[in-house]
Amino acid sequence: MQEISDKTDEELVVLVLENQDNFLYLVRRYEPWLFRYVSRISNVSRDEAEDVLQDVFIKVYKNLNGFDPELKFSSWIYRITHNEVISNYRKYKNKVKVVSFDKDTEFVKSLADEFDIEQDLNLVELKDKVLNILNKMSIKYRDVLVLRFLEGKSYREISDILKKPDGTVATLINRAKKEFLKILGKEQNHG
Amino acid sequence: MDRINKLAEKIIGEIKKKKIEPTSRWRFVMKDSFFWGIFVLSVVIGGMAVSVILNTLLNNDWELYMELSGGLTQFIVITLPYFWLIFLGVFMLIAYINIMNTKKAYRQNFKLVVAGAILISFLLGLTFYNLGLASSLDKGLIQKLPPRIHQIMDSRLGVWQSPDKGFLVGEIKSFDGINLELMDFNGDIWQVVLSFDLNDFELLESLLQVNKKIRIKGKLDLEKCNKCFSAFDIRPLDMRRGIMLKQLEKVPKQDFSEMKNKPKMMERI
Repeated sequence: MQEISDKTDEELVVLVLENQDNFLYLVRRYEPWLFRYVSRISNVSRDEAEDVLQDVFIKVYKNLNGFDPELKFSSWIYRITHNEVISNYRKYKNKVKVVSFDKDTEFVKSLADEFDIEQDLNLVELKDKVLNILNKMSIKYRDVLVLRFLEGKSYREISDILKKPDGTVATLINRAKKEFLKILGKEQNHG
Repeated sequence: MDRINKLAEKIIGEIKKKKIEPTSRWRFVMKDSFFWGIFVLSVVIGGMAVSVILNTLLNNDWELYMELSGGLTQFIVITLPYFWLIFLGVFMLIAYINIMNTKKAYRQNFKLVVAGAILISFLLGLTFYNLGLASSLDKGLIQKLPPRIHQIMDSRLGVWQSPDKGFLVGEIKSFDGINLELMDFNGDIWQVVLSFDLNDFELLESLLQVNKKIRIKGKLDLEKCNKCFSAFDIRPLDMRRGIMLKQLEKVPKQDFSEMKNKPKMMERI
């Protein structure tokens, strides 16, 4: 018999609606991804990110019957997380300013490749540079860059998460790239 | 991993402690249906607005534009149905907001959604107009509104509220066969004398009924009194001649026997 943890998200949703204890599996499956996503876009501390996630998962549980199976479950849960962060963003905005991207080497490298940042920098310098730029970006641009380059979401998935048309997502990503390069240019001029 | 388990346990504990239950499916269905319902309603109301706009534009007093305003551009600017255009805009906005709240609507292009809603309203408006809804709405509702509100809803009436220029609009207060008492949209009472020959009594009796709103072309008769007006031409508020004459047949006749004996001639309007 198939283990519960091997079930698809959609199957798991049905099981949770039958027995709330099964919600544990969904939380365990998504917590690491969402924790990282919340941290990247909101600059909050670990404790605050956990508080946000607790609210997110309770909302997910409450709204399980509203999940549209034609959407990917991951897009739906990311959407709820995105909305939660955005609606509380003012609260976080003035708190932590520096993000700890300890394990995000891949993300930093992928962004560095995308923007052709000098590869002769060592990883620590590269990380500092990329994260410094990200921290200076507005949340809406940082959000799409995180979704595209860290979470590896497709345009359609980002469209479903942000509830914006595909074309708008493409525009947002282009503008985010431009803003990233603009800040990078300024940094290099000052450097 | 411990941290994840700890958080997961905490969340499940919170759900159990607060006895949180998933919201029923029917609520989500109702919510989506509500947005669709409001969208459909807004587009239909938008269609009604379009039919009134069409009615106004197609039956405007184009043949009198020079006399009424001095130029075609001025005439268009003065008589555009602003109220209905704003009304249409508001309902298109409501339609847009509601459709965008339905599932997956966000995937659609903003311009396409707005253009689609306007196109559907326009097609509905054309249908309503051809079915005579705009005319019925005008007669059954708009014309019965208080003059001030009526004037806001029908900007064409403003140009007819110019006795100095020979145009008058208002509601018939009394009519004895020759003399007519009319209350204009400012509440002033006018003594109107019919200065044209009459021979079509059916038309006259249908047109000149108490409480009916009419438009008059003529001139101020200050020699008689301050609020005296000689009428050369009387028109109902309904602009479509065809509709007007068709509907006149259904109006119950009044007794104008005395007038019928007089050898007068009347032009059809």
